[in-house]
Amino acid sequence: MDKKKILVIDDEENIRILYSEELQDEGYDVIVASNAEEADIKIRESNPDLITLDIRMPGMDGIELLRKLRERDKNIPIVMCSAYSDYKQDFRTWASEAYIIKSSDMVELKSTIREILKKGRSRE
Amino acid sequence: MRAVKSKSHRRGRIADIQKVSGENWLEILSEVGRIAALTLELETRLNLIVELIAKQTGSDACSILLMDEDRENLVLKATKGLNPMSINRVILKVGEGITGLTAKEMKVIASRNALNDPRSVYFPETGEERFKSVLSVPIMDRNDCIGVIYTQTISEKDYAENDIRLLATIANNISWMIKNAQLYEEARKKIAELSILYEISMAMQTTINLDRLLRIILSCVTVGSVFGFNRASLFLVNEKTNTLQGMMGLGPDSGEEAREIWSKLPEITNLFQWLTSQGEALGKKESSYDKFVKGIRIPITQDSGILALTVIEKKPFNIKDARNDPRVNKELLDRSGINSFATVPIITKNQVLGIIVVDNIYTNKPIRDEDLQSLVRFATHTGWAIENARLFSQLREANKDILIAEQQLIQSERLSALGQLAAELAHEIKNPLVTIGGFARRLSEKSDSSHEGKKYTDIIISEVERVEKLLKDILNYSRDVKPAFSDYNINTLIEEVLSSYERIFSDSGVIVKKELSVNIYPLQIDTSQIKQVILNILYNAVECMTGKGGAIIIKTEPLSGEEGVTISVGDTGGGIPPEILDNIFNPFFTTKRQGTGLGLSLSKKIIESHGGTIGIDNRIGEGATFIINLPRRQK
Repeated sequence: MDKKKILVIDDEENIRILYSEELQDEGYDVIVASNAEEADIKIRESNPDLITLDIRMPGMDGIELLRKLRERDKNIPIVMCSAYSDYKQDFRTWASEAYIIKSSDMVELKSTIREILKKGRSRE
Repeated sequence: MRAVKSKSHRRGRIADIQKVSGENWLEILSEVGRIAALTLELETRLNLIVELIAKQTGSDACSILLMDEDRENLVLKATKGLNPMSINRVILKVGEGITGLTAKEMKVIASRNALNDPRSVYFPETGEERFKSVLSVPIMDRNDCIGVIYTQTISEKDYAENDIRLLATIANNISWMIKNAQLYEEARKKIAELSILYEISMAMQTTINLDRLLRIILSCVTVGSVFGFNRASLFLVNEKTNTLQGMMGLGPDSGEEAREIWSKLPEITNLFQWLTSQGEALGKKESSYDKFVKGIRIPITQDSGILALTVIEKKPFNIKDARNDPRVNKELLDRSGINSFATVPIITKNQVLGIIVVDNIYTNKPIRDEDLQSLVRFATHTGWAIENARLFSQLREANKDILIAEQQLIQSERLSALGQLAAELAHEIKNPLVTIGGFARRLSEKSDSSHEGKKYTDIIISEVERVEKLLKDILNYSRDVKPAFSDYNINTLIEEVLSSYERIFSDSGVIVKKELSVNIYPLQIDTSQIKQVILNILYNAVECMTGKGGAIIIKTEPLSGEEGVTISVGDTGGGIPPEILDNIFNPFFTTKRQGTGLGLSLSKKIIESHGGTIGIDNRIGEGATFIINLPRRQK
């Protein structure tokens, strides 16, 4: 079975490293991007199965990027990851599959990704 | 000197005829005029005149009676020939006796044999039974009789036309003098009253403190040199409740006390000084009359008695027989122990501010209508001062309210700034914290349990968790709590919270009792927020009982008065120390080592955003009960 490919978009390098390692341990291929432009390139190159998306980023923020990504591809699962819980109420984030508040405990993120990818597979 | 008291009847008559003719007339009248114009007391001049007339008319006595203020009695004011001790003591009713009849019918009466005249009334103290004949002439002022002048002789005498005309002419001539003197006396009284009013108003201006002012006012009403009522009380109208409210009562508590005070009371030479000192003396001693008055509340309605009527009809009442007056409130009367009293309204700008009630419980002196008139004038005067004092105290109250509001505003601004700062900071901290904690977890997972480093990384993990929890609380608090309402049964919600946290209770040895009313409506609430509130309060209760054990009683019942629910959560943790009670709803206030101090503060914010209230019934030594009232619907 092919490894699922996950794109982590976050402006903080340490977060990208942490997420990559954690998700690789979960058995995923992980690619990273630190901003919207980079993400654009990575998506074209690698066609990921799931994207985790930070909201507060310099330049184009996560919410704007989410809109662009959705315009391009309605089906790719996107998990919003933010230190802020406030955006949960922002209806624009409702276009994502899930909204995770960042925590040092990665259990929630990992189980959410697992669930989404499982569903995706059953849909296929 | 011609003999006035003629020894023989005949000689006396001859002398009279001689004197009462021609030049002698003019001489007498000019002398009367001269005396009248003297700047002497009225009574002195009257005495000079009667002496002159007795002498010049050959009468054994000449006397003058003057009408008193009530125009009911004649009072002996001057005499030649009668016992001078009876001056001011002989009081004769108008219509009584020959002279009284003279005044009543306003006509001359001459009686040759007064002793046998059925109309006569004798006053033994005057020694007038010696006299046989009397000539009595009314002293007229326009159409009013203001007194009587009369001559008497020991021997019988037939009065000739001339005798009568002379005395009538003299009476006419002294009429203006008497009238002037009376007017002067009246003016003097008015001036005295005005100067008293002036001093009173000066005294009233020395204070805007309502209590002191009322004391000054009542002192005026009771002090002898002004009104001299035994007791006085003041009531003010409470417009909100439409009642008369007893404000102050002034007066001795017993007859003995009254006598003691009055005997000791020094002559008040400077009313102004005395009154201001009375204002200062406020609160020194509280009489039972004062307490009685302060306890009185009377609804301002037609059937609540005279005091209420004084306000409604805006006029004074002089109640002389209270017991038989159907308008008097009998219950109040019984407690006051009086049968006569008077009330006057205090009116400013055509509005009744209050009333003054006076009585003479100890002296039983009747209250005259004219005293009441002065009291009405006085009361009007006090109205302005009371209005001022009241406005001032209202202003002070309003100022205080503004000050409190301002402080609250500053406090809430400070908190909101603090909240924003905290939120910014929290976010900045959160990302590095995620990586610290995240990598620590990775380290911990990768090292085996015997490795020493694992212990350290586990500490890092738990400490990071703690900080993350703290940040979450702060972020929750600083965020605007906008509840998402839906109808939910509060009992169900409580059951859910209790079942999820069952383990916490059993671990800490706390028993939970439920008394959930079935008669409650579903509420419009944000379930997750209310859950958080219940949880916060439960946590607090559990924490204060940890190690000691105890019980939590959680109750729901219908809200009294309106649709809604009262939720109470009580513990047996010994209550909240009074010194921290005021602070427990303040953000960042905590007594716990691990607390953020946001739990209760956030709970309060949530309940208030639901239009509800949260409070504490604190029983020191026993426990504390948090009481939450939630309305059924959101406005």
